[in-house]
Amino acid sequence: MDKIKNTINYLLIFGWLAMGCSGFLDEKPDLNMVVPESIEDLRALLDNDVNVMSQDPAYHEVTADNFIVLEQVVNNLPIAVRNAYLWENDIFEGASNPDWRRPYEQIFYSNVVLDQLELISVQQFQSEEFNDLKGSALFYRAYNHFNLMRVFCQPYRAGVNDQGLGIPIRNSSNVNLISSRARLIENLEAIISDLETSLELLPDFAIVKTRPSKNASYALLSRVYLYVGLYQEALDNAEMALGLNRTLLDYNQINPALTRPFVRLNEEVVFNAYMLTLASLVTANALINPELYDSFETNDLRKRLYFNNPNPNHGLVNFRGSYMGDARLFTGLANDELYLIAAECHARLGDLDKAKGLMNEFLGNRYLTGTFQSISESNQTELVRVILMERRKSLMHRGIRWSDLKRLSFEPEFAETLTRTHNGKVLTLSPGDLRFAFEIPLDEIEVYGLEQNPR
Amino acid sequence: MMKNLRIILCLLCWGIVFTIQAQTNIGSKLIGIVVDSESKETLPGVLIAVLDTEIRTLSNAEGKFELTLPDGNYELEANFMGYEVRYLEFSVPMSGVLEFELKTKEMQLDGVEVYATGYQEISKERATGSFVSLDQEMVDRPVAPDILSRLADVTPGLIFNRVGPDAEQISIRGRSTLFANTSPLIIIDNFPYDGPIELLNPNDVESITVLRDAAAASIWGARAGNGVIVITTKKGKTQPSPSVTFRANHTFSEKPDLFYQPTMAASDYIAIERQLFENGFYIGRENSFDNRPLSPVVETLVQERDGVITSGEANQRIQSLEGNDVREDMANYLYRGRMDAQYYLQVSGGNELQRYLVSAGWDQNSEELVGRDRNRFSLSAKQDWSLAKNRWKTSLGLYYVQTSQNRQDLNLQSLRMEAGTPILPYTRLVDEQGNPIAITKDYRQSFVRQSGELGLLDWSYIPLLDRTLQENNSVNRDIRLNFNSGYEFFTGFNAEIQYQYWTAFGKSNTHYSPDSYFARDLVNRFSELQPDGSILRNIPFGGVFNGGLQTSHSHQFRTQVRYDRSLGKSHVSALAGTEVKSLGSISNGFTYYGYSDRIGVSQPVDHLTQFPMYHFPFQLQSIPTGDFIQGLTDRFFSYFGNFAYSYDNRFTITGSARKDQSNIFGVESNLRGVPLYSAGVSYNISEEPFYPFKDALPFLRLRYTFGYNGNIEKSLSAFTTARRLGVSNISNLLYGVITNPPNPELRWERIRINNFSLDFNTKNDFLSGSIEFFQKTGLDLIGETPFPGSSGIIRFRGNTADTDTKGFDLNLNFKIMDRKLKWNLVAFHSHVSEKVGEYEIQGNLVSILRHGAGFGQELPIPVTGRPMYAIYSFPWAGLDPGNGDPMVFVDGEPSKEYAAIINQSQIEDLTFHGSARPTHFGSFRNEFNFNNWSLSANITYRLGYYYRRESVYYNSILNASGGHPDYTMRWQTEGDELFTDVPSMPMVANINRDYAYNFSSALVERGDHVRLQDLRLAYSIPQFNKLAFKRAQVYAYINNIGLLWKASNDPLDPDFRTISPPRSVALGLVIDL
Repeated sequence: MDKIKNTINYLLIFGWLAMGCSGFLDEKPDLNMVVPESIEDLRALLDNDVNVMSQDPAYHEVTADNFIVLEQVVNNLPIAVRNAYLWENDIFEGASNPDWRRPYEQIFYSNVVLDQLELISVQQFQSEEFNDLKGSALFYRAYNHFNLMRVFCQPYRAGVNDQGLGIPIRNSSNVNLISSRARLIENLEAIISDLETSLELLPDFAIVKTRPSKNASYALLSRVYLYVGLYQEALDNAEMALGLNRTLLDYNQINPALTRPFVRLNEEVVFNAYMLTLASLVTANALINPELYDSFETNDLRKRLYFNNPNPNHGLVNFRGSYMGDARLFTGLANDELYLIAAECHARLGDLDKAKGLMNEFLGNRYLTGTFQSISESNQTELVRVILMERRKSLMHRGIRWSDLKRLSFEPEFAETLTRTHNGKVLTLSPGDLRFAFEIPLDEIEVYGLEQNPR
Repeated sequence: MMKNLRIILCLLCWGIVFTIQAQTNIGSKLIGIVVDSESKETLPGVLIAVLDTEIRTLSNAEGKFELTLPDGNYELEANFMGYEVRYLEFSVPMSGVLEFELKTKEMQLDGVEVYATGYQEISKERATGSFVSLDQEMVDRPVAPDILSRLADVTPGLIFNRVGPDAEQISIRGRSTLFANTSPLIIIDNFPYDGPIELLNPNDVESITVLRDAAAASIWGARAGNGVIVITTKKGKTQPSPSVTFRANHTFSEKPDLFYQPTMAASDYIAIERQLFENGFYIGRENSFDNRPLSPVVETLVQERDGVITSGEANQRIQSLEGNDVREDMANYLYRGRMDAQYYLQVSGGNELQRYLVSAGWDQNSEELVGRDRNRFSLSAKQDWSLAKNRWKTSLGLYYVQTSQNRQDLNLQSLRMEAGTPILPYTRLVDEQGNPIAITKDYRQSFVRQSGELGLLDWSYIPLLDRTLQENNSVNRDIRLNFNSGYEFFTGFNAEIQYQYWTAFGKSNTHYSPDSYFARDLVNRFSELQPDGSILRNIPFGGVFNGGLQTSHSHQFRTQVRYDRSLGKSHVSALAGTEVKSLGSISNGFTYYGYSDRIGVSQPVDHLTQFPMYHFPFQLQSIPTGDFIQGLTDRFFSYFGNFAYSYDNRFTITGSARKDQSNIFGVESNLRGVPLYSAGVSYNISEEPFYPFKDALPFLRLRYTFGYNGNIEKSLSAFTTARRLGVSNISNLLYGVITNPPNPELRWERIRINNFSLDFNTKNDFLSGSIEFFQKTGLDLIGETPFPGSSGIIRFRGNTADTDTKGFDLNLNFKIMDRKLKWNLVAFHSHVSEKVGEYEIQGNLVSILRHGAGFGQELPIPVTGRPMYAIYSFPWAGLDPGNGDPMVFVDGEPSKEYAAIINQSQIEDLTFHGSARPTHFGSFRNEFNFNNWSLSANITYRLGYYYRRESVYYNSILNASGGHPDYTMRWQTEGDELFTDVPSMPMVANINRDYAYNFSSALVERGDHVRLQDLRLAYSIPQFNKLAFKRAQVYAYINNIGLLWKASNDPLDPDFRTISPPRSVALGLVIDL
């Protein structure tokens, strides 16, 4: 009623006097539309983990070796999935690539928040919410630059190929800026710098683990340093993160009768993120690599909790153990990964006892109570191999395997060659293959003149 | 013009009384009587003037008058409001009574003499702009429940589009925007109408004027870019006794022809299913956990393979399906011929002080889907007062419309086995005895059986029983109140206020009863089997009720001053004013579960928790909610003015300007408003003394106008804007999405229009008409620029594009015969040639090809230098004689590199055939009148455009999604390439191979055709005094008669690809009491 009254007043005033119409025309045309100016509005953008944020690339899970597809089914896969599965040179054939677009969209959201925060009034400046939001935006920017680097660049070893082709770094919300490919070392520096700054701004823990925190920044730093082979830094950051929270789920306490045994945002999760949904990855067609499945021992609770019962028709299983608690694959940061990073770094840096200690603590929570036999390996290389195997098993379908294959390609003792058979032909993917760096989308090449990854 | 005449007339009346009294009593007495030409009733108060004298008188209460005149020859003029002026020559002395028959103006065949713009009425002689007006006879000619369709095929320059999204129903002189609003502005009784136009009862409409160029439409400013349609409703007339009109008609339409669109025969479909089964296509699905359905044929093959049934049994079972055609059952049980009935009653009357018109209408439609019915009730009351010696005029109008729709029909989508698959061609809806039976839907048969045994609700779907278990009711109410008051301060100078209040209320409820498949399926999916064997229902057993409400209201208020006066040979007409508008609407929706309509109680559910789906436990879902709330606000503030000056009926210059400001979100105040203006001249060359063709071509006039109209796209903003979407199901936190990146340069679209016309009339009106050439240039159009992904956005919308449209409208009226048999031919021909200006986007080639004629509700992709709607193709190189692979020319060589063809071709490599919308269209309407009979037939045509024929996509066939029956004409053995262009079936689905064929020139056809659109036969019942009515007419109207000619050999109608427009016959009656 008030609205009508107001309108009538306006009508009288404006109709006759034809002046002062600023307020009348300032009404927004759509109730649900906002100009994101307040901290609350900006926060809502970063909390959009439904359409934009915390969604990670997916196709490198298809190119990796965690699952297989029955030969008859391969031809019925969507084109891009089929191309990825068969390690074709060009996966998307010019079609839009969500694995590239979505991370950059998240970087754009982060930059919108960072640029708007520059304009925000002095009262709000330096408040806790302000810092938290700014730190979160920096975390997301680093998180996505790193995801892009893992997929679209050749593996990087600090000090070895610093000048290799990186991905474009975007630090502004101005969409008219031209992109250009940075060097790998510049990528690393940008990621590290955003994360270091975020550590000064973020609280130790977030109110919900879908939001970044200091805990998450340390964990991500540790993941990044491990990827580039800086083991001491990786270890330091893993320990900082575990120093804040080192809870592990006791898999003996998890009910295997549930179709999805794990609960979302559980005690082990540090930061929640998930893989962009690829229908082919979540249906019955994605069958777990039998070699991998067989490597789990009977008393290993991961075998029970990660997989469903073998399909009577072909004896193979599907994955059900996502920390998302549903069909989506968890790719965020969690304490299990931190334990495995810390143990690997200790082992690589020569402190085998600490490495074994961590592994035994970790695996003790993964085996049926009383059945786990402690690791007693005394050879450094062999211990690293054991840790890598446990890493592969624990972190399957987490978006980790592809980058592990890439980083290990620098070490002949750990490097692996993947093979697949299709139409009677054996396909192989050897360490150092150019196909480890996915093609840059065509429009980037045409519009910005980016250099394409060689084939 | 007419208004002015009346005012002058009334003023004269007062003076005349004195004149009459001053008469001297010499000469002979003359007695006369004035009657209505139709009703023969006498007319009192008619002004009778003896030309070239000062002598005037009025007819008395019996319609009689007396004059005393000296002997000689005279001419008398009889003038009465609402009637045509009548002249009569006679000589004095004379014996007997002089009889004047006056004809009412509305019966006039010549149409309106003024053009209504919604702000004023412009006399035809002084108009410079491009108007088309439809008088009541034209409005009433077709029989249709809505008003807009009555403009079809009789309005030069206006076309009803048959390709493109539904929102683009009408185009006036082409399309001058890319992504902004494309609908013409619709004015009802001086104000833009914000409701759905279907609500207006066409029987209430008196006339329609279409404003096509800048001079005509720029008074409407920022919303006039797509043309303006001005609808004027009926008003009461001064007449001695109330008149009552009753109208009724019934329209009977053919049952839709489901067999019109060819579909793959059941036997072919089954053969493909067999082949796919052998290839292992269904293995993935058989092994899956989601219990997706397998068709009856595949289930039979599975049982055969697993040894459950013998091959013989399997073959027999499958053979029994081969002869089925689901369309037979659909035609028998789901469809009927549409029936529409319309009734309308109107009472009007009044005197010089006060006039009134009250009308009521009732429409009833039973649509072609069994169970879908709607009706409309409309009521209107209008009062006009002329007070203070005709200086103060006030009118008040009230309109109420209520429509309701009831649906207990079967949504055809629900016959699909699952979303995304076609309806299985061998599906039966009834058994041999005609009893409704279940069809396979959503889940495997074995799963449906098992879950029933475990205690879940019956999961089977019986379409014909389910139809009555759900019901959708919607009601819309629309109320419009118009108030107008104007005062003439001195001769020709008026000040007016006009106000309109509009409010609309709509609600739509869908109730699924507990036994409906929808409710059972939902309850079952959210059920969990407990370890003790009991069933936990996360959605309680019961019905589901979805509701939606929408309320809107608007205020529009206008003040304006007008000046309209002739001084010597000059005539000045000017108008200025301001206008303000505020429109608000709120809509919301809700869903109730466990609903019982018997007691009106529902039960709460948990929308936050994600539950495993019973049929697919790996999938977790929260219970869907239909809850939402949305609100829109539209605000405008405008100034406007126009003026016209004519000299000696020869020269006229006009000008008009308008500035609009609105609440387009975030645009700085200075950019918010856009001033739009127009100017025009007309030159009546036939009035010049030197004009040489006075005999052959007695009337010749040139007109030229120039100006700008605007167009609006409200979804954009100058700031970064975001939208709150809701609560994340992961974190339970509120989240938002960025809808626009910042765009400080945003401004409104403008359309520059040049219009040049020539009006002419030959001797004795044998041929009259006009030709108008126009050019429309869309400027600052909102266009899309693609952005590479690393920018963070995919595309950017801003004022980057332009379009150029050229064309002409030719309008011809032939009076071929004007004796006892009258024969008129009314013809028009319109030409539109459109092209998009420099456009940066390099849209994906497949999208350009596929969206060329629009794609569902999606728009085509603009291409520089081409019409927005255009057909492109790959040049066809025939089939590979070796294996039937399709080939297209790439650089002059036949190619089969499908991925390269699709991904590497450029737009320049494609053949551009032409527009997908007609570039030439028009109609010939012959009208015959003989005694009381009249017959008219409209022949329409559309020329100069192309369409793409549908054919086989093997990607769809090999994914068990069915396909086009061209499949039977596919290449099978060597030599077939000589007879067919349909490629062979590949081993593996290859979408690029399908594209190469389906987007090749082999499937592009010319759309040109000529159609006998409709025919109307009317008989006016001669008047007999003993009958109780003044006038009566019965008529028959036949619509969608059929094609007379088409350019392509394709058996289907070029404009109707899926279903042909059903022929219909309407029978109607009009009685004036």
